[in-house]
Amino acid sequence: MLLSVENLKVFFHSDGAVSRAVDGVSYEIRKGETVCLVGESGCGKTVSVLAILGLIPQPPGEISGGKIFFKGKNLLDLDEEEFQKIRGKEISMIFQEPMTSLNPVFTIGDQIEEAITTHDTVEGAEAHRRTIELLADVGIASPEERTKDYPHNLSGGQRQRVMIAMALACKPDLVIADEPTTALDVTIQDQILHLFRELKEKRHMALLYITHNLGVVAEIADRIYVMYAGIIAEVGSVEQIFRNPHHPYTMGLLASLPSRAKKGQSLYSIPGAVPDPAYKPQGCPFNPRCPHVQESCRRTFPEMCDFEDHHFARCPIIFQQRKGS
Amino acid sequence: MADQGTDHSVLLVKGLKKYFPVRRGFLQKVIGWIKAVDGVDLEIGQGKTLGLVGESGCGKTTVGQLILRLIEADAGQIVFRDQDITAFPPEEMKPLRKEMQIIFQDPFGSLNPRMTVGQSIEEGLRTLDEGGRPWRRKRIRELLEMVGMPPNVDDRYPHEFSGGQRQRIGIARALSVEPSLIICDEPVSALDVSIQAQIINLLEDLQAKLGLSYLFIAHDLNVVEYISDAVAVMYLGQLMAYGPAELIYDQPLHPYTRALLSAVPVPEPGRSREWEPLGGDVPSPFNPPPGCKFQGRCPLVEDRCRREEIQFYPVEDGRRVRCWKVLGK
Repeated sequence: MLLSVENLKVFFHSDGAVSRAVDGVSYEIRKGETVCLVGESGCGKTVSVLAILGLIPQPPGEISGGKIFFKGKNLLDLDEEEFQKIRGKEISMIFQEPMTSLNPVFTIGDQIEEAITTHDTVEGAEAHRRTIELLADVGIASPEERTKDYPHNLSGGQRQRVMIAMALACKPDLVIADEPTTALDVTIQDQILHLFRELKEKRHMALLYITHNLGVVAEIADRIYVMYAGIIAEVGSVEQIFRNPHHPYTMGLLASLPSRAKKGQSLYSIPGAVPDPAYKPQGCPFNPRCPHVQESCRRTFPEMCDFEDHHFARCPIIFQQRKGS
Repeated sequence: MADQGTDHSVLLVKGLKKYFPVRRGFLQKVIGWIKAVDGVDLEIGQGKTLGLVGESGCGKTTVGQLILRLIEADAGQIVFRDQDITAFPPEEMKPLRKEMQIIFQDPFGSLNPRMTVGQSIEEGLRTLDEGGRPWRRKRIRELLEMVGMPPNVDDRYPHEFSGGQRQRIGIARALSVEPSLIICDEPVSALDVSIQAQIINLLEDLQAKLGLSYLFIAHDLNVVEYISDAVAVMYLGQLMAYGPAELIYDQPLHPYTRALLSAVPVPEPGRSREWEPLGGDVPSPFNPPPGCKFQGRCPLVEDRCRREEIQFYPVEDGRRVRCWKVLGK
C-alpha cells in the first residue's frame, strides 16, 4: 500500500461553529493505481488531500483525528522540515487553476528547474536538460524555446501541461490532481486526460484524482471513492460503481446525468441541497435527501457495508434489501 | 430551422457581426480586429430551445448580448416577432425588454447582495411601471412559488441561499415581466450535478407551462443535447454546423462537431474508443487566417480550406454545415 488514509478528521473553527469538513474518511492507493475522489462542492475531497500534503492552515483548521500512512510512515507525525522532503518530491500536486498556480514573473523553465533543484542536488545544465525532457514528455512542442516563455505566453492547456511537468519533476510516487481539467475546454480536457493515461502507463505512478465530473471518472479511474458531506459514501471499482451502485447518493448522481436521460423525460434530481458542514443532520448525512430513508437513518450513523468483492457502501438499508432478496 | 418559414419563429438572426478593435500605443491606433461574431444566422421557434455550443472565446456569449442589444452589432439583422429591432432606438426597445430576458451563469455575481430577493425580482416590474405596489408584492410571491422557492423568502438577502436557490431567484427575476424569449447564458455550469438536474427540469417545466423560447448557451454538450430542439455549433465567431439536435449529435458531419463530441468524457466505463484527441489549441480570434476557421486543427484540411472562404452549405436533411469536404462540394 502506497498511501492509506485512516479515519481522517479535519475540522474548521469559525464564529463558534465547527465545520466538520472531513469527518472520518479512509481511503487507500496502491502503486501505479488511479483512484478518483468524486463528490460535489463542499464534500471534503480537497480538504482531505490538503491534509495529506500538510497544507491545512491551523488555525482555523484542525486535524482532529486519524492517520495518514505514506510508505508506512504516518505523515501526521512529521515536522515541517521532514514534510518539505516529501512534498514535491515523493508526493506532488496539480491544482485546478494553472494560471494562479504558476508564478507570472518567472519563466516556466526557471520554475521547473526550481522544482528539480529544491530536492535534487544537480548542476544547472543538468536541471535544464531535465526540464526540456519533462516538457517534451508532457507534449509541449519545441520545448527548448518554450523554457524561455512566461506563463502569460501560454494557453490554458499548455499551462496545465507545464504544471504536470513540474509535478513530475522529481519522479514522485504519488501525484495528486485536484480538478486539473475543470477550467479547460472539452477538446483540451481530452488532451490532458489522454496525457495522464500515457504518463500512468509510462511511469507507473499512482494518481489520486479529484473531480466532480463523472464522465472524467469513467475515463480515467481504476477505483472510485464517492464522498458526501465529509464521509465516504461508497467505494468500488469503476465498473462496480457505474454498473451497480449501492448507495442512494451514488444512484442519484448517476441518474441525474443528462447523458443518461431520454429526451422528453424529466431528469432525475436529488431533492434539496448539500448540508452546511457545520450543521449536518443527525444519523446519515444524506437522510434528508434520500428516497430510501427510514427511521433508523435519522438516528444512527450508518455502517460501511461489505456488498461484494471490495465494493462497500455506507447504507445498511440497501444492504438488507439486496441481501434479503 | 434556419431555412423554414418564419411563421412560428420568435427570433430570427441574419448575418450578425461584431468586431472589436484592438488598439495599441500612445495614439491608441487600431492595429487589428477581434472578429468575435462573424456572420451568424439563427432562428428560434415559439416554445423551442436552440442550443448554442462552443469552446471558450468562440463568441457565443457575445451573440446573446447582441440579440438583447446590450451591445450593438456591426452588421446583420435581428428580427424579433417579425419586427426588425436591429436599429430600434432605446425608447422603442424599452417595451421589448419585457419580451426578452436573460439568465446568467454565476448566481453569486448576478444578484445584488444589498437588495432583498423581493427587491431584485421587483426591479424589472418597477422599471417598466407594471402594476401598483400591492400587486407587485403578490406577483413576487407567485413567481417564487413558480420557481420552487418558499414564497415568504422575499425579504431575505442572496447570501442566505445556495447556488441552486440563487439560480432559481435569477429565473424568477427573468420571468417577472412575462418574457417570451429567455437567453440562458451557461445557467447550470456553476452548479453541482445534483442541482444542475433540478434547474434543467425547472427550465423545461416553465417552457411547457408558459410557452417560452430559449437560446441556451453552454459548453456542456450533454446538457445541450438533453434540452435543445436545435443546436448551433460555433467556432471562432462562425457557425460550423446548425440543425436538429438529434442529427447534429447522432450523425455529426463537420469535423469540428465530430471532434467536440468525441472529446466529451462519457460516464460509461470500459467504452472502447480510439482515443485520438484533437490537437492544438483554440486559436485567438485576433486577425484569424483567411479560409476556414478550423483549418489549423482540422484532420481533413486541404489547400482549398486555406484559400477560400467556406460557405455554410445547406444539407438535404435540413441542417447546414460549413465544410465543403465532408459534403463533397
